[in-house]
Amino acid sequence: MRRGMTGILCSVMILLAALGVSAAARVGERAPAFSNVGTDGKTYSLDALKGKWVVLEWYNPGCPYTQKHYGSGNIPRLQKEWTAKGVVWLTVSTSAPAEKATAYAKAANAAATAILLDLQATTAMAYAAKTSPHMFVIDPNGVLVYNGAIDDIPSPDPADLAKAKNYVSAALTEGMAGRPITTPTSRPYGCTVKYPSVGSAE
Amino acid sequence: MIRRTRTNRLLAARGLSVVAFCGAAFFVGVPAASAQMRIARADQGSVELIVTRDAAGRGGHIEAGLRFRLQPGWHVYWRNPGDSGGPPTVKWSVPEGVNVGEFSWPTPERIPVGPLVNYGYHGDVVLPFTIRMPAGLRGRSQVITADVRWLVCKDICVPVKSRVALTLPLDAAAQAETPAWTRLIATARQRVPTEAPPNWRATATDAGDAFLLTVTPDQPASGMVNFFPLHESQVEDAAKQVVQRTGARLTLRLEKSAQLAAIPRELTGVLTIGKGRGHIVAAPVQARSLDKKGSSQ
Repeated sequence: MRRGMTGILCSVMILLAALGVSAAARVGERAPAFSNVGTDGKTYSLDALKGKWVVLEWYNPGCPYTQKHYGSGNIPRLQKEWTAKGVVWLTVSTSAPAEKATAYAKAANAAATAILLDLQATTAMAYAAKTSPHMFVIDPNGVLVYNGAIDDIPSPDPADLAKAKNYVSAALTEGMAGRPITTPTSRPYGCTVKYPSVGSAE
Repeated sequence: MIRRTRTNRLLAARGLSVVAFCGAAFFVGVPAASAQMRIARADQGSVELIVTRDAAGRGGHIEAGLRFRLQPGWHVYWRNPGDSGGPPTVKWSVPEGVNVGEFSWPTPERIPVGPLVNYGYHGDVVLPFTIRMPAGLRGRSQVITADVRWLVCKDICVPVKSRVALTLPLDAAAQAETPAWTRLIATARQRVPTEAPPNWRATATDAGDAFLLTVTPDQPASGMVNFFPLHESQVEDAAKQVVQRTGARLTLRLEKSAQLAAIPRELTGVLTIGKGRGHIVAAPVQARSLDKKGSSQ
């Protein structure tokens, strides 16, 4: 029985590796490594960001849920607030190419540290990113401390923002104060992240 | 006429993705005159209310359904949508005394989207429910209105808001359709999972990265086995469910969700075996155990 289970486990791991799906992005464990080129032409890798708090935000300017948080100014406001406190905020696009990704962000007065182009979705795979937005917070030691939704009201309606509890701000506030994070995971909501195998409409 | 408005309670109780798309991001144009329309159309498909019979003024139950007819490739979601998406939600407006029941959800399909998996429906799908009519209602026509918010996805997702209404007594055109609607609702009801028979045993074990779900149906059954979790963020939806069979006993290895917050007391979901009807199983979760004497075969 034990040996059977080991065999099954190995098959599952091989299968997952083949699919490129990783269960690696678990809170409390080392965040998966990544290295992507930003729309500014610079390369951003997690290794080089050691010592800093890092936020990853999956982003798709064609998605009504991304539009909720940009059109309302919610994400740009968070980006300004947290980058001012030394946080590295990386917006990740798997579908929108550089020009489109930057044009939309600029029009919304976005203030991320950089917009990363992950058009092969390798970083999305490593993190098992599901939705735009899907948020991850990584501490200065490279440990994942938050994996989930941006807030607790899963709707595309900007009117809900006023009464929503923002999980990313809560995680950063608690984490930077050295306190345990009250809500380290939640179900991300939004449009399904675009992976290249399923086409790239929008 | 006094109207009463309420949200479908089952959906309201569901937690996270309940209010999945209260937004006005996309609004299917509803001209004022169509406030009484039974069917609403969007580019991705239509939504309508259907009933088995007309019981206005007579009291009793009417079997009804919320029917989606989707364009090829588009899907709507099950009560647990899986890795992304959200189920349809309805806000009802009904005459005083009329009661609209909760939806029964037919067993969904597993819908792979790249490396993710959603649970939902393609094509023509009916969510059955029951309308309870008070005996005293008669005379003037009664209108049951549904404000439906539905997220419909293909390679992109579109949140749609539709208003559909049913006017009782039914007009002649609707009366003529009730035999066909009755068949649709009955077919949908047959696809709704039933509680597992009491002599089935279901338990789950916390095995580190995964849950091991063991179900022993009353007799061995062949065919593909699938488990659809009723609750989000417990099981990694896209992970392959590895099934081991020992006589009638089935053991499924269900990878834990990366969003799992705490070990649940129970794993609850719909188990399907082959083409048979789905059964709802509720398996108490036992603490992690490395040595189970006597369980080796």
